[in-house]
Amino acid sequence: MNCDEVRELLPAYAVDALDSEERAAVEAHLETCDAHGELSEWRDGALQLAYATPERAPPPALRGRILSRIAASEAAPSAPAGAPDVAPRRPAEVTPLPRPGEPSTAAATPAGRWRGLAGYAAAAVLALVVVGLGAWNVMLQGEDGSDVVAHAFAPEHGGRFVYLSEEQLAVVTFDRLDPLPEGRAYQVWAIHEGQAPQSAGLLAPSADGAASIAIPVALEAGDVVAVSVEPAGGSPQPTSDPIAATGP
Amino acid sequence: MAELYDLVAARAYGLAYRVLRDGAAAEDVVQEAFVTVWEQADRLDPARGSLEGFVLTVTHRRAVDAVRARMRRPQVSDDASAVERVEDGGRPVADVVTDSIEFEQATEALDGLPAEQREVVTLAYFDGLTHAEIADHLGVPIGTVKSRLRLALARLRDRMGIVQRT
Repeated sequence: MNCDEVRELLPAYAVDALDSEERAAVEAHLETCDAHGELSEWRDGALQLAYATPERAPPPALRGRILSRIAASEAAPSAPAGAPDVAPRRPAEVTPLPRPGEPSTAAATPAGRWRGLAGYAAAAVLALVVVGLGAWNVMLQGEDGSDVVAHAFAPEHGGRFVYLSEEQLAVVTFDRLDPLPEGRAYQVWAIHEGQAPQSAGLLAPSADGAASIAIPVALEAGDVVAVSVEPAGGSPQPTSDPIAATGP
Repeated sequence: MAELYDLVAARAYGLAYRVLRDGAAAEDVVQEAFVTVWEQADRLDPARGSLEGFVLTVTHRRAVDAVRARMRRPQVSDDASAVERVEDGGRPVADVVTDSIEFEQATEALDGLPAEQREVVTLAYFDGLTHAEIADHLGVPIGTVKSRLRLALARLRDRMGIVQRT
């Protein structure tokens, strides 16, 4: 496909109206040709169509799922340089934060009206997204005190733990949990030092044993998040030894 | 800035829902889009577009791919419904959480297009049809579809200066 042919297809490409062969051909050309800066203009036009779509509140659980996915990739032992400790990529070290009293960039956006709809999980997702997006010079207001703990644990189950102190959110993921017999379930516990375990919910592993859970909880050094095998539906208190445990 | 991400999530979900008309499928699309943005974060050039725009671009592509995969050959159910969708913009009524300034202005820009251009961009962007399918559907040459799409996007882009915030 030559430049003229590509140029003719770019508007349709910008609105994803090419079939897969045409799209692949256009992209193959764009990989090797810098002469198509006009694509960004077609994309701007296409974005108007996105803006002409009414916003919808996503189900709250979606935020936790996205958070878990991102946290898992961030904390994965095989992750690239910097992992599992994500702290060096904190936005505070990439971009100066607004000083108190300075007008914030966010205050000028319509996003302000979303304040209040955002739950803890949303804030945590955003924090994690922002952590990875320092290249955009994004700023996270009021997050200068935030800290992120991320580490692997229970390697036999591929466990990862992420804790966002600012958001008071812990995320636990497993790559491989053993299948359980009928009538049993994996239950997660948050244990504050010196206190009785509190149930943090049940894990629902996929067919290949992957599972994750986001737990809204304030944790401090010495506190523990643990998983035990319990009767389906969960127990008020653990009835077996933990199969995995970790903490901030 | 954190609030901006909330805004993107709701807009992305609204976009995916409009294309797919299925909440669970829209959730999957939005999740994949956010993960894609996350994974590509280090490789992207901020000068090429806003982050918000990138999230929406990825969301739309995944939504279109999903709707095509689901229907194999995407089809508009019948002419009447297509016309109806074009005329009302296909806006879902339930669970709309807010109508932002951008929504109002972009909708105005879309509504301001000549009907034949609006029809083509709507079939492409919101129904996930390819330009060849649109040509079949409307019974016009593919070159006509291409030129209507080109004109429509140019007009929408020209309205962008009014709509785009800094």
